[in-house]
Amino acid sequence: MKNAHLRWLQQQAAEWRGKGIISEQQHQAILALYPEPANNNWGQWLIYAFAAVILGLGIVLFFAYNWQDMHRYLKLLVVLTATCSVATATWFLQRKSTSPLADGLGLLWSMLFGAAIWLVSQIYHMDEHYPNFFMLWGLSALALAIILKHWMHSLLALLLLAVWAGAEMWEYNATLHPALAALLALYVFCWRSQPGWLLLLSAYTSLLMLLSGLYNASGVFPEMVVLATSSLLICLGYAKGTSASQYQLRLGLLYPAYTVVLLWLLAFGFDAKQLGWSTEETPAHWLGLLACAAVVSAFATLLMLPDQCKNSRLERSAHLVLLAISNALVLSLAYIPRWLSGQVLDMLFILILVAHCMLFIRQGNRQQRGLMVGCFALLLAIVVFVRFMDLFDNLLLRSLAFVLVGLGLFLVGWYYQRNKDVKA
Amino acid sequence: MNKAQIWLPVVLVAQLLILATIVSKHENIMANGEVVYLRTMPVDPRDIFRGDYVVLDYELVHRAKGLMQENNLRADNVYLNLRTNQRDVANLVSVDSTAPTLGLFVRGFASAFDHSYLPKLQLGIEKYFVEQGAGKELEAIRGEAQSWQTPLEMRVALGSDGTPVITGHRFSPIRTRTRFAEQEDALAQPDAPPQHLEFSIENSRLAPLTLFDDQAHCGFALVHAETLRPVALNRNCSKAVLKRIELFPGDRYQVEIDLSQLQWQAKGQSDPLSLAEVDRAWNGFRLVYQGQVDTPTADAEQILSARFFRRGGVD
Repeated sequence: MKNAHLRWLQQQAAEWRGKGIISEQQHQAILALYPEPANNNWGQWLIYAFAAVILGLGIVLFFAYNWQDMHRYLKLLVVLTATCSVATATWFLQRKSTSPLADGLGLLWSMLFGAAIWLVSQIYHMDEHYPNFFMLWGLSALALAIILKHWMHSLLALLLLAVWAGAEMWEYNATLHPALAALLALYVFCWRSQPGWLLLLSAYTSLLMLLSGLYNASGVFPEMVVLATSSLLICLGYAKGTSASQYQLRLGLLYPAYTVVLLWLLAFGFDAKQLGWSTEETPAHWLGLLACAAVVSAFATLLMLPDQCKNSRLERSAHLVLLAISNALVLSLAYIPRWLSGQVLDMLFILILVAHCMLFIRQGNRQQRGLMVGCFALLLAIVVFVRFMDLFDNLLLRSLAFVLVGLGLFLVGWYYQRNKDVKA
Repeated sequence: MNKAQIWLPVVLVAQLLILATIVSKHENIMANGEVVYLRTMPVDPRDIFRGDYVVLDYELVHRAKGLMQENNLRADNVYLNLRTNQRDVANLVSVDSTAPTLGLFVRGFASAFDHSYLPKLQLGIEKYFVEQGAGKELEAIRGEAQSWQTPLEMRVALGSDGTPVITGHRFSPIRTRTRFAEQEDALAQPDAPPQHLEFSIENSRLAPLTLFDDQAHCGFALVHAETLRPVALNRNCSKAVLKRIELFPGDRYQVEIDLSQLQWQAKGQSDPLSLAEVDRAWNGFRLVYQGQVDTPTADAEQILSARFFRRGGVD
C-alpha cells in the first residue's frame, strides 16, 4: 500500500476510534493489517543521492582547477584514497543492511571513480575518443547498480551509458556499437528488479540509440523500424505487466507515441513510408530482421503467459492483432507492388489508427479514465477531418462529415457517462 | 556473506586495475619515450570536467591530411613518420597505414571525413590542460591575428607504438606577423579585396637564423590552409637562385606579396580573382617559408604564416 493511502487509513482509523465506532484493539488490528513498507523513506534517499552527486561533482570540479603546484602523484593519491575509502565504507554498511546511507555512499563511489577517470585524462592530456571515458564510468556504474540493486545507481548508469551511446551515435556516426549492448543489459536489469518508470526510461533511451544507429547505417529515418521496435516494447510491456495499472504506467507514454505519431506518419505521409532497411546485407538490414525476430518472439512469449488481467484481455488481444497487422504490412512493404502502395496502404493504416483509437476509447470507458477517452475521441475526429476534408468538394458532404463526427463525440460522451452511472 | 559483499570488492579492484593500466602506460612513455617538439596553432576554451585547456592544432597533422588525400590513403589508424630538425621540432616525412619498424613516428586516428572530404585526423593530444587562467596567458603570448604571433611547441614523448604523451611546452624562437598592407576601410572600392600581403619573420633566439629568398620570393610558397599543400601558381621557381639572408637575434625579414600579380594567380587562370575561387573551396591560404627550392629537407626550419583569405581577413 502506498504511503499516502496508509496515512489516510491511519487518520481515518484514529477518527473512528475517537468517535467510538471501533475499539482500541480493533484500531490496532486494522493498522497491523497494513504495515509500512520497509525502506520506503524516499526523502532520506533523495537527500543522500543529492549529497553524493553534489559532493562527487565538487570533487571533479576541484581537480578541474588543475593545480599546477600539486604533483600529479599526489592528485592521483588523493582521488584513489577517497575512492577506496568510500568503497570500503559502502561495503561495510552493506554488511549490516541496505540503508539510504549505504546507497548514497555507493553513489559517491561511482562519482569518485568518474572523478578519477577525468583526473587521469587531465594529468596526461588525453584527448583520444572521449566517449571511452563515459564507457568506463558507465560500465562501472552499471556493475554497482546490478550489485546494489537500487534505482539511484541504475539511473546514474543509464545517464552515463546514454552519454556514451549518444556520443558514439551522434558524433562518431556509429551503427552497431557495444554501447547498445550495454544499454540492453541495463534494460534487462531494469526489467528484473527496477521500478517501472526506470524500465520505461531505459526502453526509450535504448530505442533512441538503436534508431540513431539505424539512421547512420541506412541514411534515412527508419519509421518502419520505429514501428517494429515500438511494437516490440509494447508487447514486452504486456508480457511484463502483472496488472492493468502496471502496464499502463509503463506504456503510458509509449502507446500515444506509437499510435499518434507513427501511425499518423504511415497514414498521411506517403513519403515517410520508406524502408528502414534494404534487402541488401547492410547492418540496418540485420537490425531490421533482428527487430522482426524480437517481435515474433514477444508475441510467442505473450501467448504462453497465463492471463494476468481478465478485464483487459479483449483489448490486449485486439491491440496485438492490430500491431501484428501493422508489422506484417510494414515488413512486406519491400515486396508490395508499387501500384498497390499508394492510397490503398494509406487507407489500411488509417483503419488501423481508427481501430486503435476506438480500442482506447473503450478501454478508457471501462476504466473510467476521462482524459484517455477525451484525447482519443478528439484524435478520431482529427483523423476524419484531415483525411476526408481533402476528398469532399461538396459543402453538403463536408457538413455531413461535421455532423457525423459531432454526433459520434456525443455518443462517446453519453457512453462514458452511462458507464460511470452504472458503476456508481 | 551476501553476494554484494563478494562483488563490491571485485568492482573496486577492477576500477583500480583500469586506472593503473592507463597511468602506467603513460608514465612509461613519459619516462622512456623519445622526446620531440610538435609545432601548434592554439585557441583557448574550457572543458566542464577538466577545466581550462588549450586546443592544439598541430601543423604536421595538416600536412598529413594533405598527404593522405593526395595518396588516397584511408585507414582508421595511421602512422606519421617524423624527422626532427636541429631544434628537435618534428617535421612530417610520410604517412603510412602500417606501423614502421624503424624511425620516429606518431600514431594518429582518422576514422571519419569532414565536409571537404579531408580525413579528420587526430593524434589524441589535441587538448593541453592547464591551471585555470593559465590558458589566457598562453594565448596572450601566442598573439592575436594581424599582430606578432609566437607558435607554441609541445614537448611530446613517443611510445614504441607511436602513442604520444604531452610532457610540457615551449614557445618558438621565431615570431611571425601576417597582415594585409591595406586597411579594409581604406580600400578604393568597398567590395574590392586587399592586394598586398605582408609576412614578417623575427628571430628572437640567441643564434642567427639563415633564410634563403629572392626578389620573386621563391623561398616562400602559397599553400592551402587546411592541407598545407602548395597552390599551383603561374610562376616557375625551379631555376631561381636564392640569396642567403642572415637574421641575427632581434632582426626581422619582411616579405611583401602583390596578390594581383599574375605570378600569384592560380595556374591556368588569368582572372585576378582566381585565388578567390580556390579560397572558397579551401578555407583560405597560408604562406610557408620552404627554404632552398631545389633541396627542401625535413631538417629545415619551416615557418608558417597565419591563415588569410583572398577576399580579406587574417585569422
